[in-house]
This record gives sequence, C-alpha cells and structure tokens, in this order.
Amino acid sequence: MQTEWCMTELQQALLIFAIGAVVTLTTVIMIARGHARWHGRDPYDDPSRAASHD
Amino acid sequence: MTEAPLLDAGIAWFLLVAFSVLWIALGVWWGKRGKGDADDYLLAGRNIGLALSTATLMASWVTGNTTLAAPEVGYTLGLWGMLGYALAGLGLFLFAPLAIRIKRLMPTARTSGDFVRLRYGRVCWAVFLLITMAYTLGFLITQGMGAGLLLQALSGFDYRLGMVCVIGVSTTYTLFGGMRGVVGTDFIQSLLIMALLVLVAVLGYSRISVEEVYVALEAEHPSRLNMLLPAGLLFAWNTGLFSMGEVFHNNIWWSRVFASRPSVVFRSFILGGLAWTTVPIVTGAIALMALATNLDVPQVNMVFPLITAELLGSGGAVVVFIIIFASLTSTLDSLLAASADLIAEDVVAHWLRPGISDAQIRQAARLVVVGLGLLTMLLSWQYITSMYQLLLFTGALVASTIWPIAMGLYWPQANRQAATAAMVVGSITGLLAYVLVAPYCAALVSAAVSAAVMGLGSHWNPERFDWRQLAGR
Repeated sequence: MQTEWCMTELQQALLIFAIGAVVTLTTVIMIARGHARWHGRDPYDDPSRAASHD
Repeated sequence: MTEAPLLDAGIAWFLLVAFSVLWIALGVWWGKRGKGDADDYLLAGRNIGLALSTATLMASWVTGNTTLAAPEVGYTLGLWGMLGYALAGLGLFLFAPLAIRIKRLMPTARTSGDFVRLRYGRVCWAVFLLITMAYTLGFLITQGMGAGLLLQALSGFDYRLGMVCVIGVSTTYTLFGGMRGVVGTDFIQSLLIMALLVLVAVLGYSRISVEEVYVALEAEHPSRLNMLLPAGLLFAWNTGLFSMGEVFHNNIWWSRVFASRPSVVFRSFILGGLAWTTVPIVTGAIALMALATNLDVPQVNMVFPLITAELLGSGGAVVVFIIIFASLTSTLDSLLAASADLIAEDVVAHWLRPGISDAQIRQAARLVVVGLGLLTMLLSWQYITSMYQLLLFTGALVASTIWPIAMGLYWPQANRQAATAAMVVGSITGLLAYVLVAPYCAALVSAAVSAAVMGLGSHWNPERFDWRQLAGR
C-alpha cells in the first residue's frame, strides 16, 4: 500500500526555519569555541601543536 | 514608482548639488591629511579610532536596500520582516571575534584575499576572487540602479541622471580621498542617517502610540503579527546567513579591520552592529505605522518615503532624500575603495605584476576606482531586474565562504581542498535552491552545504597549518 505524504506550506516553512536555526547556531558555536581557544594566547602558538608534543 | 515626485525639482537639484559638493570637498580634504603612501591610501594609515571605525561600519552596512527594503518587508511581513531584516546585524556581531584574530595574525596584510591565498593556496584564492568579484559587481549594480530609481521617484530626475550623479560623486571622492576620505565621509553620513531616522520615528510615534498601532494591526492586518507566518519563517535566517557571508568574506570589512587600531577592533564591530540593527527596526516600525493608519501605498518599496512625507510634509521628502543619498554614497564609496584595494593588491601585485612598488599599487588602486565607477554606470544603464532578487542571488555565493573563512582563522585542521570544494559546491547548491526552491533559501542552502563539506573534509583529511605563514603579506 502506498501512503501519500506531503507537507503543508507552514510545515515546509518551519522545516526551513529549523534548518536555518541549526546552521546559524552551529556557526556561532564554532566561532565561540575558536575565540575561546585563542583568547589570551600568542596568535601563532597553536594549542593543538603543544598538546601533540607532550 | 509613485505617480508624482515627492520633492520639488528645484529643491531636489539644490540638495543634490549641495551634498555632492560637500562629500567631494570633505573626501578630498581628508585624503590630503595622510602621508600619501599605499598604506595611507588603502587603509587610512592603520590608525582609525573607535568613533570613526564604528561609524564607517554602520554607514557601509546601511545601504539603499536597508532604508527601502527593510520598511518594505516590515510592511509585507510585519514583525518577522522587521526582526528578520535586523538579523543582518549578525554578520557584524559575529565578525567581532574574527576581527581580533585577523588583526593579531596578519599585522601587515591588506585584503581578505591575502588571507585566503596564504591560508588555502592559489586554487582556493582564485575561486574566492571569482566569488567576491561576482558579488561586488552585483552589489555595485544594486546600489547604482537603486540610486537612479530612488532619485527618479523622489525628485522626478531621469533614472540615468540620478544614477550617474550618485556613482560619479562617490567615485570622485573615493579616488582623491582614498580610505581616509571614505571613513571621514562615512562618519558624517552615519550621523545624518541615525539622527534623521530617529526624528521620523519619534515624530511618527508621538502621533500614534504603539498600543494604537498594535490594536489596528490586530484588527485589520493580523498576519503582520503572526510569528508563524510561512513567508516570515522562510525569510528569517536567510538574512542572517547572507550577512555573515557578506561580512566574513568581503574586503569592505577586512579593510576596516586592517585600518583600525588593535584596541578598538572588537568594540567597533559590536557597536557598529548595534547601531545598524536599530535601522531596520526603526524603519520597519515606521512601516507598521503606515499599515495601522491605512496610508495609501501605491508601490510597496516607497512606503518609507511616503509615510515620512505624510508625517513631515514637504520637509519629509527632504529628510528622505538626505537619508537615501547618504546611504547610497556611504555604501558605494566603501565598495569602490575596498574592491580597488583587493584588485590592486591581489590581482595586480600578487598575480599580474609581482614585485611592483607601493607607489605603483597606490596608482593601480586609483585606476581601479575609476574603472569600477565607470563599469558600474555602464552595467546600471538599463534597469534590468529587482534589486532585492539580485542580492538574494548573490547570497548563494557569499554564504559559501562563511565556514572556510571562520574555520580557517581558528582551526589548523581546516583543509585547503575542503575549503575550495565548500565554496564551489555551496555556491552551486545555493544557486540551484534559488531557482528550484525559493530565492529566500539560497544563502541558507549554500551555507549549510558549505559547512558540511568544510567540516567533514577537514575532519577526514586534517591539515597541520603553521600560523606563522600568515604573518607576511
């Protein structure tokens, strides 16, 4: 049996709104983590390189 | 277009001549105050303070679209239109932390292209230059066409006369004043825009209260208050992602970072973002007032000029003329200066004629300013499409640069092949979404696909980038 499935205009809009929120939030988190990573540190002194030398 | 111009032709001519002479005189005067070397011409001597830096960021981001399209979406989409358009401030807010990193990593760099070339190599740099050139041309054309249309609607000027005047004035003072002239005039222009917008809003809401506007909208236009309005939901994040793409990649904003003192970079982007965000909220609120008072609006993109004329009489048309003339020239000058900087530094000095002197770079930048001004006039000669549709189209391109730029500034694992693929695939899918789904989705799809390609590509094949490579130019 085949089930017909389609979204209403509002459901489509809510889906796109949710995707937009996720993309924006992910970008904000990436930038916040990057900023915290380098805050108060020499701009060329990469913390991941220091960790790998331990 | 409205049926009759809002402003008397004599007054319009007086305003046009007076402000053209003022901007050119100020631009030339400020331009003469520097040392005259390439860093001074391109980056105002890298010594801009907080007030000038904040003002130039705000003025550059207040375009002809902000003063007309923001009230238009407020009028058609209501609260979501206002809030969604205000999300375009996100680009400036989120660039503040990136700006500090750029300033510390690249103390002698001049352009966003310098970063992409040194961080990701020449293939990615070429893709980036294609994207930024396509976007810049689209942006310049929207401002040129906007100038012609607005002066025609406000004053009855011929479309081409208005367009040539606005582009000609911006080109002239950018040519002679360089970045110093652009930043100085931006300061005056931003003060004018803010003061006059506040005046219109205060006068408007002193005649009809917020409560009266709300009651009238609830009774006659309830969809404008509906936070589940499908068109509003579609619109919301697209603007924020578009603005991030524009600000993260475009040399307008990178040149402001290089031109400002290190101590003011972060604060100026936050304050510039706050100042800018008030503009769509204020103009959107004015548009809601037009709905609540049932003002006759024959063409929806003229809602702001119409309600201002309604509130202030003939003085309102003068106010609108000044706001729009200042908005257009402050954006055009920034675009011309930053694009000339990018072409002279990246295309001429790093590609066509490596090893040229600073004086030759400065001369190349001046020639590019003139060339771009003339090209913009030529491409804007015929009014071919909706300005906003063209901007949404270019949104697909710029949103693909968000993750490659931000990730490349913070994470050594950010991979050059992934960055190139993210820009190409993001742009293509964004353009497909523009055509096949809806123009409002272009930036969103582009940013989402680009983020996935960049994140996964860098995770599977991480690079170990040495940050010291960014110390040079």
